[in-house]
Amino acid sequence: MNDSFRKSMTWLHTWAGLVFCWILYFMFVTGTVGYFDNEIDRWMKPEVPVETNISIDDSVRVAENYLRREAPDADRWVITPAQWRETPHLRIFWQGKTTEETTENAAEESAEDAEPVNGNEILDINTGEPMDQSVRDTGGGQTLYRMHYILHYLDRDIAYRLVGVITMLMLVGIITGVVIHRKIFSDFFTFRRQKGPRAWLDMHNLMSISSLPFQLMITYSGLIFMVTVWMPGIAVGSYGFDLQKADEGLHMLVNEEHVERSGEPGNLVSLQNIVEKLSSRDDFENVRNFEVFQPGDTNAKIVVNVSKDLSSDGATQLVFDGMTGELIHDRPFVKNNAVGVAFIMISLHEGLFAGPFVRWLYFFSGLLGTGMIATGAIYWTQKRKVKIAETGPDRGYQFVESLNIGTIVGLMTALAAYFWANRLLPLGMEGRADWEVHCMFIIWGLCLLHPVFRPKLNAWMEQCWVASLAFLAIPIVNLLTTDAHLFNSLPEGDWVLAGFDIVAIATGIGFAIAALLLKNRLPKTQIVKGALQQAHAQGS
Amino acid sequence: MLMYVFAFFAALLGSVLLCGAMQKHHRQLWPNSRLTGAKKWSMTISGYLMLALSIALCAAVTNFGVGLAAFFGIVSATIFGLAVYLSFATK
Repeated sequence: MNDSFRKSMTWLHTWAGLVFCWILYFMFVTGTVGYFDNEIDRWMKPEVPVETNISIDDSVRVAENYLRREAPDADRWVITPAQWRETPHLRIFWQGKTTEETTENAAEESAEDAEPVNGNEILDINTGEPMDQSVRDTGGGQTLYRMHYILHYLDRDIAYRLVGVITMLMLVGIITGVVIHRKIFSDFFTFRRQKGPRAWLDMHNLMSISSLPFQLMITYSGLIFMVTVWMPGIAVGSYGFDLQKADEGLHMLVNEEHVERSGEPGNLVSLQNIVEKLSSRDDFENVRNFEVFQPGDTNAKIVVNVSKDLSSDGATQLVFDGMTGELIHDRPFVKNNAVGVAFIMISLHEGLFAGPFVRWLYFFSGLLGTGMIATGAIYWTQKRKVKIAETGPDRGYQFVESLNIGTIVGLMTALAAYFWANRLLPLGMEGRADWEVHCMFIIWGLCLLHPVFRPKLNAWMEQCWVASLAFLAIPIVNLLTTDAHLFNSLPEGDWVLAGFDIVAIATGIGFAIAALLLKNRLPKTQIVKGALQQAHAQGS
Repeated sequence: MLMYVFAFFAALLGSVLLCGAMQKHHRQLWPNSRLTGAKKWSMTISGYLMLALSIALCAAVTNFGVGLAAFFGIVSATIFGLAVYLSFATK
């Protein structure tokens, strides 16, 4: 390959990778942790009881009783049975008349009729009544997971566009990385840890290449996720600047039920009958949710969404007549192949189809991606270290090194602070969930400031110790503040709660090892420091 | 789950064989063995066959789509683990 081409690709790889690598690292850390969002939710809400082995039958029976009683005239019910990892509890949702319609008709309706419009509840399967989840106001794993694409404090539109640019730079980084790697096959298993800066490059290469399919998939599917936000020209080209028309066009690509009221009251067929019909199907276990349109009207329809293969959000749609229970349609959710491909990419990105084993693989691949960004950023400084020792430190170098320390290690300490805040903030505190996040970012801010005032290798070591202690103390704080600690979770075989504490301990040990390794390298710093001072003395 | 464990070991064996088919790594893995042409080819072919077996085992758990996603995760772990092992446990 032409050398100048490879050189320009190397330049592009270096700078496309470096410019936003700290935000990309944040996206990877929060996104990777997000593969266990529901498990983190569980740990962060220890007071919420766990319900297991609930049949679809029971879920539907309890939900139907509640909805028939509380929202008989709603326009739509959605029942999500408690059987999936992401729906550990029976969740119901109902939608009434829109607020606008309610206001228009307010004069004709009594105050009692006008309320409530919409509802969203988690039901206790034993009592059939809404479950109280308000004991501990927390952002949980969901807030953490959402950070990887909304960047939390930023305006949504700005965040989406920024994330789009960074994702595109990541894709550029991956492709140029493959192009510039001369010995991609012969270096496949190579990690020469004794070779100074080369060791960082080897680790960067190893982490990238071993997880290359994942990195390509996660980046490309990330771009697909909000393609109409990042490339609005596609929609404008087809539908013009009329956003409503574009939105209608999008809905035409999938099968959706739009049921109008006939005005004649009708008796909805029992949902138990529908469940009975479904139970003979091979994909009965894959039923995701039940939607009932106009339940109190003769036009009522029942839609059952069933997942298939990678498509966890409902690949097959079964439509039943709401009065007779007769199956009207058995059809795929998407009408268009391109949308089908996009949905598969999105499913691959989210990994909702993954069972525990594949989920851990997702998590591990995410860690490799996180490590790839970290080692790339560290290699940038390591490669320039010798030159800096000769010419004296420049501001750019120090800026990058400080950001590296404050982000690569500091963000992890901030993550631990988020979990600490969940356990230590007063339960009745106003805005508690927000303050969990504020604590995380305050600690991250302090970690970003710390390396500015300390010699860099000392700062690396000190932050590793702090991160280590922060993670090792999580199970202790947990033990002191709740009953969901290891001494209870392990004997009960509750691997979600126990797993969280064990991962925290393992992370703490990892940072302690890193700190010890850095401590061993400290004397060498004195040599470099001496060389720097010598170079300065000669220069002046 | 057990099938995934078999798939993991098939991928690990495949990775070791493909790694062993490379001159510099062959010496790391088996210091007293010489990598001949026949050995190189047989290790390469059997390495790829083991990876194919790993894909088949992953696909057998649910379906090919999910199986392929699982396989790429497994093979990332085996390659990374093997490279780190080679660095720390061999000369």
